[in-house]
Amino acid sequence: MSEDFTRTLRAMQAAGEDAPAVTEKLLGLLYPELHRLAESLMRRERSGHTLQPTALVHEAYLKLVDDTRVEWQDRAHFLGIAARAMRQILVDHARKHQAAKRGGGMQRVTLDESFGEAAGREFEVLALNEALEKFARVDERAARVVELKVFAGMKIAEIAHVLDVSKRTVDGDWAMARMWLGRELGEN
Amino acid sequence: MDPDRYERVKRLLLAARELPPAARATFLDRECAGDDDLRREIESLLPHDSESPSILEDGALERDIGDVLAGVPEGIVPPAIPEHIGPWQIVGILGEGGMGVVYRARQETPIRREVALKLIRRGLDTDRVVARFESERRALARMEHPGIARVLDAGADAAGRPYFVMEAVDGAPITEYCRNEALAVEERLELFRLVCDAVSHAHRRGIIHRDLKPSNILVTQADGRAQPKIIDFGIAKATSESGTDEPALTQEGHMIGTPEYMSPEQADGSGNVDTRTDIYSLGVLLFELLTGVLPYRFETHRYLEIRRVLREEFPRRPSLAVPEGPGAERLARRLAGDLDNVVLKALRKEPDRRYGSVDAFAEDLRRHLEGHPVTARPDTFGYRAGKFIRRHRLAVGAASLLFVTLAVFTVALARISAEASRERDRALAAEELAREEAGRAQREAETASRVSELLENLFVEASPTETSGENVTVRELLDRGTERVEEDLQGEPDVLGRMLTVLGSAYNAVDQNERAAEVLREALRIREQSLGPDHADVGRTLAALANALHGVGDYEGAKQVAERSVSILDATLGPGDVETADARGGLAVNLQALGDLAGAEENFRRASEVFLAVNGEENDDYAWSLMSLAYVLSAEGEYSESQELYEKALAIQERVHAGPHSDVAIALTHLAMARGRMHRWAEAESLAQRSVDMFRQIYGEDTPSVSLARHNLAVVQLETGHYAEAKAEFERVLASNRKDLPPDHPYLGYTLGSLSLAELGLGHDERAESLARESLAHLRRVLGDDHPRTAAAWFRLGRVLVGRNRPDDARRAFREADRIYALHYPESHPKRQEAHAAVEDPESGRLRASASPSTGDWATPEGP
Repeated sequence: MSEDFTRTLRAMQAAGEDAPAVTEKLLGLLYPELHRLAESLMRRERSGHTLQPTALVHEAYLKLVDDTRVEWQDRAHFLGIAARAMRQILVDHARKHQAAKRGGGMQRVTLDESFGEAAGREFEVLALNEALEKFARVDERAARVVELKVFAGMKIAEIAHVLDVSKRTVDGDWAMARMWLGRELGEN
Repeated sequence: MDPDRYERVKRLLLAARELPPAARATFLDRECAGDDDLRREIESLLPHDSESPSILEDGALERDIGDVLAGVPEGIVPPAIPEHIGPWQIVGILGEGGMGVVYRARQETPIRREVALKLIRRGLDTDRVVARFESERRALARMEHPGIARVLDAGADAAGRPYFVMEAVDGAPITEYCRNEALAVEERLELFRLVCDAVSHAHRRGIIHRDLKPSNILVTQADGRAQPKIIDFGIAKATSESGTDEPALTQEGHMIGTPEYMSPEQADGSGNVDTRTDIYSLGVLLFELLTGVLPYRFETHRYLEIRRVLREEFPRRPSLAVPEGPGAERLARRLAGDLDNVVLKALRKEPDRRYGSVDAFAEDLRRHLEGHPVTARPDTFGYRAGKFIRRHRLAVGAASLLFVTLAVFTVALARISAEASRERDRALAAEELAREEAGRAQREAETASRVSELLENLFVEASPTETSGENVTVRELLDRGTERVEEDLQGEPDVLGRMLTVLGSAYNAVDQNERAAEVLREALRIREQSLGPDHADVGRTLAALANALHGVGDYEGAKQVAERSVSILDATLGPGDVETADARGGLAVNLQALGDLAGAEENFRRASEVFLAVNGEENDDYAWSLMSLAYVLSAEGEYSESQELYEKALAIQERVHAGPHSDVAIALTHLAMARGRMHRWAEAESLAQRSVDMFRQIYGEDTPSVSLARHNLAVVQLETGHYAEAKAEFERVLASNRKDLPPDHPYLGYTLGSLSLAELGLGHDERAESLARESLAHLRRVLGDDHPRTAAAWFRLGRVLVGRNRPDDARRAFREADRIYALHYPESHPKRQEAHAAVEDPESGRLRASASPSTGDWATPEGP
């Protein structure tokens, strides 16, 4: 797995940042690994302690990438892809769940109040995803800022690093995104 | 929208949101003149700046992502709820966590009550868990406190899994409660003191919690007041893996549970858990309550990583940890000073240096709330800044920018904090004195904290994250700081004098010695003018100036300055004060450099006595003074006493620092060399090897410290006839010297000389001679013709020439060594006797395994 991932990551770098096929492949590799990691992390955490997406991503990175063979920029790419994976995972889940509800599936028993909250937010997640797709057509970089911040829990400074722009630029993108998405989501 | 138009909207929006709301209309009038669509677009977006969707807030999706990824709502059927567990009737589920499930349970007889029942899921030895619980049961039963949820019972269910029964608590974790209620700092402190009160109640009954963290401290409402209640007392001990507090690990070496609140001694698994372990966890909690973040962020839950961080890293000051956001600056100012000190005292790595009891911790918070100075002082290594500089000069000289920045920051802050804390102590004592006296002391304390604040700002502003990647060298950083304080502090000579002293010491720490001397002279001038020539602060600045002059190599000047500093501090603080003793150590270093070994010995002895009298034997100041003394004694040829002192110093360092520590590693390599001088080679070798291993563990392979230790190990190999091994090691050291040290550093000369002897041992005569000559030339150039180290190089050349069977040439070299030694040492000195003998009979200098007198022309790490 680790070999595979590192090689793909390198290939990705060689092919240029947004070669969609490579990204797709990386996502395919990343998804099950994140899922597995999350499961084991959740088992380890005690109640009252939420799983930090950033911790998850770092953990996944350590597992997947042979540190000795990749450059620092690869790490930035990795974090970018991980954020996309998180978004994808959340959206997939929300869609499935909504479908199940519409299909009159079995009433789910939840263990924890906050799952109720989460379920209530599925709609929001899907709405955000849609709005974000629209926004990306207008301001692609700002949309990525949102992805990194909201779905991977990254800080402004980390995002600046991943996107290779100044913190000020990220701040501006984030403010713009909040306003744009705020209007978009408010109207829905 | 077309891209140009969007860019325009974005630019105007970002500009408009920076303006006060009242000014926005005018701005938009001007910028959107004649373009109503543009203006409408902007006005439809701008209100969302202050009110954006909750889903975009920090951490809004964290939990969802975790849950979804872990697949909890998907596919996992909740466990069937049992009807009974033991005598308890189960009525519902309260929650679930890594350890197991918590049920709501009910008892009908003898009394009707509802409780929480925690069923442990992990595969534990139930009998032992229950037995451990039983052993503490009576103590647990004696606890009666509104802040403690009582643990009522323990047992095993039908499947043999252990369970605990507790008073049911309906409340939110304390961190969440504070966040939800948006409590002010004072309210948080009051709440925290209630927690302390409960923990203290348990401690007085001999019960330690061992797992204090927010999810175990729930805030309930009692009579309209918030009452924190601690749950799980006694459970951590009963369920610890072996009853010995070993951290529980997964097969991959990950830690089970939440390491964030765990104390260093728990992470170590040393079993030395006592009430101070809870004090540490409370310190983490207070840090989090005040700043919203944790003192350490673990990148992974790998055990080794956690243990390393807890052992080696120091927490940030809470005031510097406050995350960006509205009100952050005000909060940081609120925390700076007393609250920083209180929290950091609870978080010290060594239990002995934390608060002695939870009551003392709570009492300091009370003092703070009532506006009195607190007893917690910043870490006390400040007055050792001088020693830090000397000890780590090599490391500092070669380290990365980041490391240097941190080192400067640490030294400077430590120094100023130590001064502040002394003033604070005086302020505390002064409370009892007349009011004006107290006022004066208070003013001094204010000066100190003002300085500390200025300094922190300076470094925070210039730290890499705050300058968006702009590369600031340490030199620039300090230059900028010096310039700024000189501008800003005109008319405040007290603060200015102190700041310049701190900055001067910082220049010294990064080997900018000339500039350090310049700044310190200016500080001296200002302080002399405002305080008079005999004030203690003048003495302090002089002590720092002596360090800087030593760094420049002006030993004579340094000696004079150090003498004056000692005499002022003697008269003001008294000869028994540690700062005076430290200045005396500085004087001794220069006396030694000037060849006045007797004077150096006397001053080291006196400093050492003070350290012993003030702090007792168990402190590393005392250990360091012993090592300095041992170093001088060995130069004086008193090998036996020198060896004893190194031995004693090592024993202290090992007791003071449990585990690997640079001070221990330094003591090890010194003792190795001392053993060698006494011809105890086998012991020397194992000590030298331990030193290398320890340095490697601390700093990594091929770092300057490792090279030094490696050099000394190779010397032992050389003397015991393992020439090939010695050669390989020396070559490695040489490569590392060339990489890390300036080209005219004396160490290069020593290593070349040592290598020449290894080559000689291997029969590579010619190569040996050319290396020996290169070493000699290097040292003559760097240290001068008459330096004892130059004499040692002549002596080595003599040995090489004997090996090449050129006794007459060898004799000439030995004679030159003898001439130089005579300038420095008395007739009885072993080196002189050795040189005499070699002049008499060059054969006596022949390289032989384990037979050579080996008076040590080796490079050993500099003494403090």
